[in-house]
Amino acid sequence: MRAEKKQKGYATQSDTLRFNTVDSARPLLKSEMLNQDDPKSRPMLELREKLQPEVIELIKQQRLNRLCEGTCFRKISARRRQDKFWYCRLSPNHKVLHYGDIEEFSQGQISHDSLQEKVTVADIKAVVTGKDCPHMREKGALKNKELLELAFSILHNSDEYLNFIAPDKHGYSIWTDGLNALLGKEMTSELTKSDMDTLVTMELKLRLLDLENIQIPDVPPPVPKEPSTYDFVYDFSQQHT
Amino acid sequence: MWTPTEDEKIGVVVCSFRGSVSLGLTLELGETVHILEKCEGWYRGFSTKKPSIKGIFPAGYVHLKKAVVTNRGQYETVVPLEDPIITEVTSTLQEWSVLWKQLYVKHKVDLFYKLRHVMNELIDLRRQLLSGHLTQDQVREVKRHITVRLDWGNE
Repeated sequence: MRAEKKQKGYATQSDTLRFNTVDSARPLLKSEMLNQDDPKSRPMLELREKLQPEVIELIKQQRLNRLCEGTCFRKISARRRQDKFWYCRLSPNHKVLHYGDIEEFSQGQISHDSLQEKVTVADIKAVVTGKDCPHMREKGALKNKELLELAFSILHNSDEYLNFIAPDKHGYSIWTDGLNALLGKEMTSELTKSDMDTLVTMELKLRLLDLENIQIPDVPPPVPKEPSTYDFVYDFSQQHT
Repeated sequence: MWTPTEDEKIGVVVCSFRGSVSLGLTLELGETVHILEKCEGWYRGFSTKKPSIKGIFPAGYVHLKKAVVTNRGQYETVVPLEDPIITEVTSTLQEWSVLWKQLYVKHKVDLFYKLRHVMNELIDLRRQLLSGHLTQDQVREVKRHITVRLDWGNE
C-alpha cells in the first residue's frame, strides 16, 4: 500500500488529490486508525474539553436554581434536646440570601416573605468549610466526622458568619457549589465532577452519532495547499439569511 | 478551477478544522456538511448547523456519505441516503437532548435519569441497525424496540 512508504501523516499534495475521490477517503495507516469509542484518543479528549464550558454553565444554572428553591437546615446544639430549624433561599435575581427560623421541619418551599433575615450576596467575602467553620471550632461544639463533612459557613461584612449544617452530602455539595458559583469561583464538589461526566458523555455520544462505523484519524490529515483560485461556481452574496 | 460536485454531496467531519485559510470554514468533529463544489483537494460548502455560512475545507477532513440530490444547482436539496428510521432516531435524539438538559437544570431527577436510559437504548439500537450485521428478523425486532421508545418519549 502506497501509504506505508510515507512518513506518518504527511502525504504529498498529489497523493491527496489522488485519494480524495468518492470511493475512499485517504487510506489510513493502521497506527492512525482508532476505535471511535476509545475515550483517551486525542480527538475524543479534545472534543470533551471543548464541551466542558457549556456543561459547567448548565451545572451552575442548576445549582443556583436549587439555591433559589431553598433548603431547610438544622441548628444543632449540644445544649438543646430538640433541634431547631431554619430555612435559607436565594432570591430569584441571585442578589440576596433570605433566611429565618421556622417552627418545624419543612419539606416544601418557604416564601421569602416569611424569612426575616438576609445577607446581600455582594457582601459575601468567602465560604469556609469543615474545621475552618466557627461553629465547628467553638469550645463544646458538637464535633464528629459526619458533622464536619456537612458544615459550611459564609463570611460576610468582613466579620460576620452565617453557619450551616447541610442535611446530607448532596445538600452540602449543592450549597457549596452554588455559593462558589455566586462568588465567581470554581465548583469543586464530587457531585459537579459526576454531573459533568454524565452530561458530557451524553453530549459526546450525540455529536458522534453520524460517525458510526467511520474511522476517525488520530492525527489531523494533511491540509492541502490553498487553492489557486477563489472564483467559485456559486455566488451567495445576494442572500440575506 | 472550482467545479460543482456530482456525487460528493454530504460529508461527516472526521477531524476538526480550524478554518485557518482564506474563506475557511471552521468545522467540529461529527458535524455534517453539504458540499457544493470542489477544487484542488478542497471542498466548498456549509455545515447543516449554520447553512448560511459558506466556506472551504480540505476534502480529507470529511467522510463522504451517499446522498439523494434534488433540484441540482445553487439551491439544490440534499438528503442522506439512509433508512428513514435512522434519520428519525437521530433527529429525535437531538430534540430530546435539549429537553434532557432542561430536566437537569430544573432538577427533575427521575425523568432525567429515565430519559437518559431511553436515549442510551436508542443510541444502541441505532448502532445495531447501522452495523449491517443483523438478519431480517433482527432488524424487524430492533425497529420494533425503537418505535416503542420513540412513542414513550413523545408523551
